Amino acid sequence: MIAWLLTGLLLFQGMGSGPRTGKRAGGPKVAAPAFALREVAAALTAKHRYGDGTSRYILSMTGNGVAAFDYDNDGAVDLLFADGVAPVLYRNTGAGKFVDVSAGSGFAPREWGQGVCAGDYDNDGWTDVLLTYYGASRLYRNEGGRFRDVTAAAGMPVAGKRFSTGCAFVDYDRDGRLDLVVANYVAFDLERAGRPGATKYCTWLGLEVFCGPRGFPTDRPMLYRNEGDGKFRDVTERALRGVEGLHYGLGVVVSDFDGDGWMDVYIACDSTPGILLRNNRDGTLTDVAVEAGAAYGANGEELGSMGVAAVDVDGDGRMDLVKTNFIDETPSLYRNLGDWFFVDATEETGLGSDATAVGWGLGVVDWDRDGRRDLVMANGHIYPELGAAQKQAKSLYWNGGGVFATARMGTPMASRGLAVGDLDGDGVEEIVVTNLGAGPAVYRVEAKRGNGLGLRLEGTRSNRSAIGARVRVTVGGKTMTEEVRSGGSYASQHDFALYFGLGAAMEAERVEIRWPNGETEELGRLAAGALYRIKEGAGVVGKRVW
Amino acid sequence: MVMVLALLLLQAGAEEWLAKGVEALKAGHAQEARIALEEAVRQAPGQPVMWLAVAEARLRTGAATEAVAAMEQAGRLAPGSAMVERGRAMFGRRMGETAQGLLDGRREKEAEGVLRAAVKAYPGEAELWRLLGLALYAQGRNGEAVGAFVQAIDRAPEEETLYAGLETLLPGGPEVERRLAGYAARHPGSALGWYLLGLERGDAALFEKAWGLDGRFWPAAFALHREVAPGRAVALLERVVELNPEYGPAYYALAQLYAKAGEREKALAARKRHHVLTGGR
Repeated sequence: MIAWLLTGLLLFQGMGSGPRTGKRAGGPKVAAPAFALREVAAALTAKHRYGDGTSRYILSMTGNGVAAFDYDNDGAVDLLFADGVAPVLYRNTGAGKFVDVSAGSGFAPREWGQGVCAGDYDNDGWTDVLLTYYGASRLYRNEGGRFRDVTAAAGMPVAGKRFSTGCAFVDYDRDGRLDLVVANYVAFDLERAGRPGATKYCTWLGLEVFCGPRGFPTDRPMLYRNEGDGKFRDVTERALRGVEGLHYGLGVVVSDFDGDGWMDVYIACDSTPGILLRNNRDGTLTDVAVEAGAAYGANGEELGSMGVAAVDVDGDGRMDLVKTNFIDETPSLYRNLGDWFFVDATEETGLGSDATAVGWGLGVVDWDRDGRRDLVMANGHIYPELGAAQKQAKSLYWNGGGVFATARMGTPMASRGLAVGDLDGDGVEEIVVTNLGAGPAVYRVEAKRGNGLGLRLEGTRSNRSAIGARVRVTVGGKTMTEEVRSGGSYASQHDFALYFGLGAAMEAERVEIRWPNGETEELGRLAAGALYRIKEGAGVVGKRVW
Repeated sequence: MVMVLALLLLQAGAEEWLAKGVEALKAGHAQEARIALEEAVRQAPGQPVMWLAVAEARLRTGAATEAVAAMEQAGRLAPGSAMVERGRAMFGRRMGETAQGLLDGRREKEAEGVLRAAVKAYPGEAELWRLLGLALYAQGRNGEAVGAFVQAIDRAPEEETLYAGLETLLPGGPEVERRLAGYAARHPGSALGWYLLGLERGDAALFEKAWGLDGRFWPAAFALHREVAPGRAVALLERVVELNPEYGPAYYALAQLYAKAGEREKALAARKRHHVLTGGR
């Protein structure tokens, strides 16, 4: 009788994860060497704006992404911010100093910018971008360092009310041309949106707050195929299978999760199961997240996921998945066991030790160059009603070899997007973070570093951005695996260059590249201390020594 | 004489409004009923029966505080009246039913409004405090919910189901622990009592005790699976889903254990079952 009553109670409550043991999130501990997050002066002086000045709408809280990429082919990593009023483009003048070149860049003012991703979709050697919006996303072609809106010419929608967020260029059909995947959040109509407190979906812990995401209709991701003549064709209906479920999509990452040479896609979803799109190698992708064990949290609950990264955390050559999540949850780590089978390893790896952050952007940086991937997360609560508590420090997770040590560092902000790139060309990546209600900030992690090297790839037969290329670097008998990707993090774009920690070694013993078209190329030994430029079929074609 | 006639006519008018209002209530037309009954009490403010009826109409139209005021007015007009006392008791139950209906419809904030008024009028009713706890919990106001459940427990400390409301809110602090420990000590055969105390203290031995007392009390087995070696955890969870085949989290926990043990087919089946049952919720 009592068990029945209790069952009834649990069913009624229905919104938690059922009985708890009283334990808080925890896990193993590992001692980390000293590291610190230092803010870097980068002169990002443009006024950044987002939201309508109120906290009435869910649209006011998602913020913006940032792209780190070299738009003018001068070898320095530039920055593009998907601002709420007009995109902001900064040119890197060298040594990590920036000048605002938005005026004359070709980017048009447009409200409610969300995310950004980059890729050379026309293989002309100039990196193009997609900016996602509430409304209709915009495809910009890079024409020698100046951008032109080609959305209409490309056959993509130029009007609407889609709330698009993360995106990524990916050559899903291996035809050498970059296609586009775009995540959509809630089906939202600004003119009909409820006011704070209007329904049960517009309160949080007794506070009247903006409505959503629950209560809004869900949406689905979109897939656009690059037809090769400057046109993109919407192939969502035909190509995306099993995505009929309910999703609030945010961050997008592309990766070859099963190592078959065909790029797959993961979409982090808020308050709904995540989406893992397996590439069927026939022009279609199927959502296998539930079966693969990458849809839910460790207790089988829906997570409030925002950012995502594909990263080989355990050095087994398979891309694992890391996600940032809402407060009272912890970040998630799904360990890839191969053959489309993941297992939640959040707790046993120590990634479940901090449930106090609302996580957004996510970067992978081996900051001590020990050959293991560390993690940086941008945090910030969603409700301005919390006042100062909306601002949260960044989370840093040092990879101690299967177990992470964590620290919260940096000035607390309501952060959102995050992108990684070596802005000053010294061989150490900087971390660019966007903030609601404030300008962006640039950081680097200070730590005792081992040796490292960087690789910047250029496709010839494959797509020019080399998105989908897989690099294996062997040192001391251990192999590190990384990929060139578009998208990732939260609605952001990391620089395409890949960096590898060599520890005390002075060189990598072997560098092997599997290009997006499937061909492999071995480079042999490469000395530490340089960023190498690799051209498909031609090997090393240049290097910059640090 | 004229004055008496006029008064009679006025009284008759109120009666008519009362009849009309009661009919509307029976037909489920709450707003219409309220208009009629408000007119009835306006015309005959000294009639307790009118106030009893208007209290019901106010409750049904979401005006819980005003409904309580009408009930109290009836009491003031006829102190000690058996009819009013019966009406008052019935009205307390009606408030609980109304709140429960709102909770079932996931209208937690409205339910809270009714229950706030209800516990003010009926502070000794444990069930109203329990419902208030649920309404607060459903809004994520866990601290306040614990307070309401404690109020309920203090009014009926031997009523086991009141303790169950605390389940997902534990640990709740020293005051909660004191009550749970007291209940468990007074009812040593209660699996629920030891299980809840186990949740409060994070003490696996108490889950073990609860499971030992009642081999059908699956929540204890579910809690215990996290504290034991994988082999036993699988056995416990397999028993949980046997006892409660609809409990999704148990399937997911099983899937995790199967996955880590390399039993992919079993893990896959458990993941699918979890997804079908919960969709993650």
